Amino acid sequence: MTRLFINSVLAFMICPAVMAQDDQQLGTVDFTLDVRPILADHCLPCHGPDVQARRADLRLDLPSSATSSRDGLFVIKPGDPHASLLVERILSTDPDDRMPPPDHIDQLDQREKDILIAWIRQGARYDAHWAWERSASIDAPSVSDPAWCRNPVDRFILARLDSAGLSPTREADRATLARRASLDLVGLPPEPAMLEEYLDDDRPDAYERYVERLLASERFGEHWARSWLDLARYADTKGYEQDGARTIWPWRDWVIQAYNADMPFDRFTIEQLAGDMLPDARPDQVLATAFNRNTMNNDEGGTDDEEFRVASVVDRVNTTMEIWTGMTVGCAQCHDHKYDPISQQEYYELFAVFNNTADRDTQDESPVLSVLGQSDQDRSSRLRDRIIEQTTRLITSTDTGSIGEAIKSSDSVDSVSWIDDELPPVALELSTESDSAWPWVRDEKPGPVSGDRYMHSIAGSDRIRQHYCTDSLSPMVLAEGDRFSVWVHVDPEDPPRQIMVQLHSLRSWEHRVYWGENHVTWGIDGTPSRKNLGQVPEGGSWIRLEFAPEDVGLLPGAVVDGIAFTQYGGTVSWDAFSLVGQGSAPVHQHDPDAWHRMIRASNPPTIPPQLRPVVSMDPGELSEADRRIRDGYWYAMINPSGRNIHEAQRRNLADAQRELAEVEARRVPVPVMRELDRSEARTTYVLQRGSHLDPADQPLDPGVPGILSASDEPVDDRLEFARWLVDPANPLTARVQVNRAWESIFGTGIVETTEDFGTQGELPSHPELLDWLAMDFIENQWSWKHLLRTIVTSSAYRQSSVTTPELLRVDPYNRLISRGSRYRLAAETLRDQALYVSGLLSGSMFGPSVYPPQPEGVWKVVYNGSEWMTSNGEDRYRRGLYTYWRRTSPYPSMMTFDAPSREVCVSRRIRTNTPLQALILMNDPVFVETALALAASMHQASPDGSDRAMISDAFRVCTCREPEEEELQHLVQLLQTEMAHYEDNPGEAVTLLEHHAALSGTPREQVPRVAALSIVANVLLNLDEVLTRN
Amino acid sequence: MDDMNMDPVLRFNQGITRRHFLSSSGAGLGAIALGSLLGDTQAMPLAGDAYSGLPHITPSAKRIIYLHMAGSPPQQDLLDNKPALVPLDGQPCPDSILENARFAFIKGHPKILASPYKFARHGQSGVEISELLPHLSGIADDLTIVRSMHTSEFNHAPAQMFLYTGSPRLGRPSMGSWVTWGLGSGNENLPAYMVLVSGGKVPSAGRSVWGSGFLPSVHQGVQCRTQGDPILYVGDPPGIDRDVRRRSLDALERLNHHQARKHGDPETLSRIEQYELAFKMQVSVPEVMDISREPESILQMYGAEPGGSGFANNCLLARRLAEQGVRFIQLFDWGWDTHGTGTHDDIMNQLPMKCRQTDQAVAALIADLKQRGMLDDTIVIWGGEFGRTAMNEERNGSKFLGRDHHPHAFSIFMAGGGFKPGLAWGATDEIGYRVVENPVHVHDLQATLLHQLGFDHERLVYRHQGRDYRLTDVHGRVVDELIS
Repeated sequence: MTRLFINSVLAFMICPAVMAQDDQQLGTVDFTLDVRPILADHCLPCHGPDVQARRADLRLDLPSSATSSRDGLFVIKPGDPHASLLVERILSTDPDDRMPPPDHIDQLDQREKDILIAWIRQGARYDAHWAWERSASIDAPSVSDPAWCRNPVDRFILARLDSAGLSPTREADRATLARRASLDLVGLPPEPAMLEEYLDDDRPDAYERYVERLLASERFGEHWARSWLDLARYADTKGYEQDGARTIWPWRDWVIQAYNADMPFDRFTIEQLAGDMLPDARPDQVLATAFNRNTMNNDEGGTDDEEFRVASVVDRVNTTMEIWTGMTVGCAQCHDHKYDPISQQEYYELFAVFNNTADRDTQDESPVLSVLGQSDQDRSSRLRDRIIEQTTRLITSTDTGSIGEAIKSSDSVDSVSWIDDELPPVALELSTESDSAWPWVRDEKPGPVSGDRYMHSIAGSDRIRQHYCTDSLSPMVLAEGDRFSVWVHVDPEDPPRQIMVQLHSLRSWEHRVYWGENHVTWGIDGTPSRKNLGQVPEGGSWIRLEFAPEDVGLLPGAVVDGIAFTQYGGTVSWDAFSLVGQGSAPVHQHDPDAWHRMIRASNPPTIPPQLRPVVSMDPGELSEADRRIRDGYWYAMINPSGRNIHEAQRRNLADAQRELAEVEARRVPVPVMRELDRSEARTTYVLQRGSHLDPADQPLDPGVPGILSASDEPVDDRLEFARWLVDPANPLTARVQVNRAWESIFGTGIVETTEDFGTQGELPSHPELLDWLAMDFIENQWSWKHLLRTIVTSSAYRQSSVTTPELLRVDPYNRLISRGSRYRLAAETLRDQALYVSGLLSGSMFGPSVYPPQPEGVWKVVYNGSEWMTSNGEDRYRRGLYTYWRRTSPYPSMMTFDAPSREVCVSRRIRTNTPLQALILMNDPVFVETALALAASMHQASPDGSDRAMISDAFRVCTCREPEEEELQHLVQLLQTEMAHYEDNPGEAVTLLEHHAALSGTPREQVPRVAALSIVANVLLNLDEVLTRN
Repeated sequence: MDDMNMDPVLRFNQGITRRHFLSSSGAGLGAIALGSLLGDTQAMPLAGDAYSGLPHITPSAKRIIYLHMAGSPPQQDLLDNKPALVPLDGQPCPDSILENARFAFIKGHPKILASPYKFARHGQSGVEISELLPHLSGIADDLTIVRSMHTSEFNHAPAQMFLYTGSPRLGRPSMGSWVTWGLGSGNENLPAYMVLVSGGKVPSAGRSVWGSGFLPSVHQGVQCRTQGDPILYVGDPPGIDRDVRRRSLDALERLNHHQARKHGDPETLSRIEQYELAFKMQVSVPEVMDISREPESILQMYGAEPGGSGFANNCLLARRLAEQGVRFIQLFDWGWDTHGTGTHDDIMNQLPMKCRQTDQAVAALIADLKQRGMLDDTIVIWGGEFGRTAMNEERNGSKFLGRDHHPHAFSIFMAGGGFKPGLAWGATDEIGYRVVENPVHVHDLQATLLHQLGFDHERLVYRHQGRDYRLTDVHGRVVDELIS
């Protein structure tokens, strides 16, 4: 106590000199701008939110703790620095008392001390952190030049410029603006025709019209999906050591479509975070949840799946919070956040939100959703429509009189042919081959033994090949004494080593007979599940093979609705599979009620949609109309005489169904989220020091951090959490998103630290503009296109980016938007642009990722033998976002241009400027080829035109503007020098042209010219102006 | 701290100055302060930097050559003699060891595996080294062996990331990135951080072990390939010769200068410089990578073969790069993951073969640096990402002898750079399972290496996502006993 007293006196003696002048010099101290950063850097690590690290039970981030009385003493006494222990401690020269302690790295400097003292003198007012404050309604400020302002954005920008004594820069010329808007909105330079139209359009709203066309372009979604993929850490592999392939590109396509359709951001959020939990979730809503399955999956042998499942959940919490709230919560995984008010307990409440999904780092990545690619989805739905329509037409075309006849008669037959020229009535056609079609042939040798076609199947040597079908709506029904019969023709030049027939009954395939060797190992040999009936028949002629139902373990009365023909190697033909010996056709073939009862009981998937409601009813309860539908279908598809009459229509229908089956066979498994139900639910605990092996004792319920919680409504699960994120009452989400849009357009966000809106992040340059944009975004249904339209049609956006030393001095980083922004294009955009201006870019959208050329050997990895299979045709020239993204070895040129590896969420790509980038743009074969293609199009456009005209054209394609005379002269001179060089070295010219296959036919005398042009093109494609968005 | 964050007024006014050139070619800001102490030519003081306090400590070394035996060699067979294992060979290992033990592959109750190799004492220091390393035994007095290393990770990828980034998870900068961020480059024609790989495969953790994490990407390691271009696209495309390239660059430069005058963007000037540097690298990189210029005696000393792609070549390249001022040279040699599932990964065939492929070259590198007077300011460090078990793995009843992953103890050695030569530090228990004396954790090693380069590991921090990050996370202690 004595020491303290002495120090107080000392402090008192030292202080006045400092204190007397501080207020004058510093003026009014702002808590957010001036004080909080000092507290955060120097004090909060030990006197902040982290309960473990907290000393002296003091929290300087909370006024309640900092200003409360401690035995009559105050750490901070508002208005009275002399009575505040804090002041005494920071001014103390005694190493035992001084704060921060002398061994602390971050010592306070004099100015920082002055600020703290002034702040206390002025009342020690604590303001809440701006980002978590609710927005008040904001009016655009008044400005010096209202006429300059096209929309409210401009008023905020101009008001700030006014206060800095600056004026906006003049508007950029139309060509620059056209290129800028196109690169910003669709990630490509403008189409030449569109550019022309815009340049010639003298209507007052020409620019707005131009912007609308860009917003409506399909390229828009591709461009904006690209940055979402960085956030979502999208890749085509699973990461970690094995880094095996993952099929998740259908989700990437979902994102592109969502942007193109301008899906409201709140829906975009809910579907990606919890689409699986929406009532009656559609497949596309479940597909959206693949967003959070982009976490890495560890397939390395010997790893603990739970460890990596926990790592995935941690990643989901961190990524979701960063993207939607701009909060970096990761540190609270191990301990309370040192700066932001997020406790470890709150972190694990967030963890609990995500901890209840079925995935658990297994190699198969279950749960998965079976998904079709975009074009196949369209094809599939067209085929389904066609099948419904054809079925309806078939039913209405049947003749009621004939149906009546058919019901009365019951033919006596001695054999029922089940497969002849076509599948069994209404069955699914399937195969082990990649397309599911059966190999029907008509004219090839040996020719059919019955009807007009047969199956002709060729397997590679020692390969199993199988064609099969199931779920026939007119199954075989076995009677006493029946036998199965099938015709087989073996190619004497290429005999199979084994052939096999299997039957499907009561959902089981365990009914097999085979001839020849014993290679196909399904079932148990020597039993009806795999019984040998002799050798493979002699080759060269059709032979009829017969077997008894007891050979395959079937009894009279058994219903057989599927069959499979299998071979091991060789070439074999099959024809006319039938049941021999029946006295009459099965009852269901001449009694529609019997058929109805049979399929109602078995309910196979082959029942067409129109029939489903009908056959689900009891046959006695059918209305007249329903009966008409059922009987018509039965007559045309099941009844033998009806089948004969309607054969052509049936075949059409079968073709459509086969096509559909082929399309459906291309479904791919995409990992998605599935919530565990109550019985399987996981309990969440705080994981001490973040270790999954060290849970605390107390179970936790899901929840959201108190600082962000707008209401007391509990957030119980992922769906409620997603809805909470986009609740308009939650101020943060919209702010973070509009900031991201601003950053994408201007190069730097209103808050520069896009990823951190917390107390450690940068403060907004235009806080009111940020709030206004956020509210406007919400009020306009969270429309991304509305937001971008607002930004790019503002006068602020349209400023020229030409800068002056004066502007560089006053507004060096253009944080005030005193001019248009200028920055290097992103990796993908550079690639897309080069391909586009050279005419190589493929416009094709969606689908599996592609493999444009990359150097050999880049893909050598440890355990995973996968190879880079360079794409052919237009897939070499697809937009960058379709390039296969392998986490342990991403596409080299993208990495060099600052693309992240996509292992974790990355909000901002830091733009660098390095020699390795120059090497890529000059020498990478992809870019060399674009130069050659551009040269080729220059040459073709005017084979003997003037050099000047030709170069001007190419210059315009690359920059959207005419070259100036000086520029033109440099390029013309280069062309002439290189022409001379390649004329002297024709071999070199030929070698150069080999980079682009399309130039292989160039006439010899033109080769030097094209080679020289490609050098000019290479320079054009490397121009700073081309690599930069102006 | 990248170029974008530089004061653009300075950039603009200075145009192409040395300082501007430096910062845009990937030198760290610290380079400017620390570099001056190291006597580098381009060093210039810069007031007001966050790193004007550099160096934190008087540096003893300028560069690191890290020789990583990827997969992790068995310490019991190379550097940590355990005679007590011999009578126990083939016996079930003591129960006490198995309590709470987790193994990557071992199942059931494993049996002790004594080393089939003999150890002997070498040099004046008398350190024990296995017969598998005869050349290194010959320079035993130059080595600083640490037998008490331990780590927190026991699978390859996380353990390698832990070793180089201080964290088993992705996204942190590697040691080489931290170092070059702080020190900058010693050669304006070459990248400051270069990586060479042998053994046919890149390390398990992939390029993240030389990634720059959240540091600017100019600080990532540049992998030199041993086939094709040593650096991607460093060669002129077929059909474009040096003269054509020079003339086209001249035209490009004129056009870009025109643009810079019109637009006033300092970044354009920076880009012009990057193209110039690229042009110079096109010559300097193939030159430094061409070992055919070395005399026959040196090639023989390393066992290197011009045109080859083995570890010996990479050791010689490491010396050449070090001579040229490259700060951080990282070699990965695959093939040390000796589990004993076959002759390709056992300790009877594979291990002696790997030793034959590397022993001579490592010893040659150290001796060569020494004879050139470079060993004093170059740290050579050799080791894996963790240790191997004292027990035979016997995966699926394999008859081949091998050892499983083992995080609790392993051995490494250093040479040069101010480390105490002829020292063997730390000890493990009788069977080499746990460290019992002077443990050195991976974070301690990192702290010590940074210390030798002049950094206080607690002050080499970078703020990212609202948090200060450092290589040693919140741990690490400089092992003073290892350094002179």
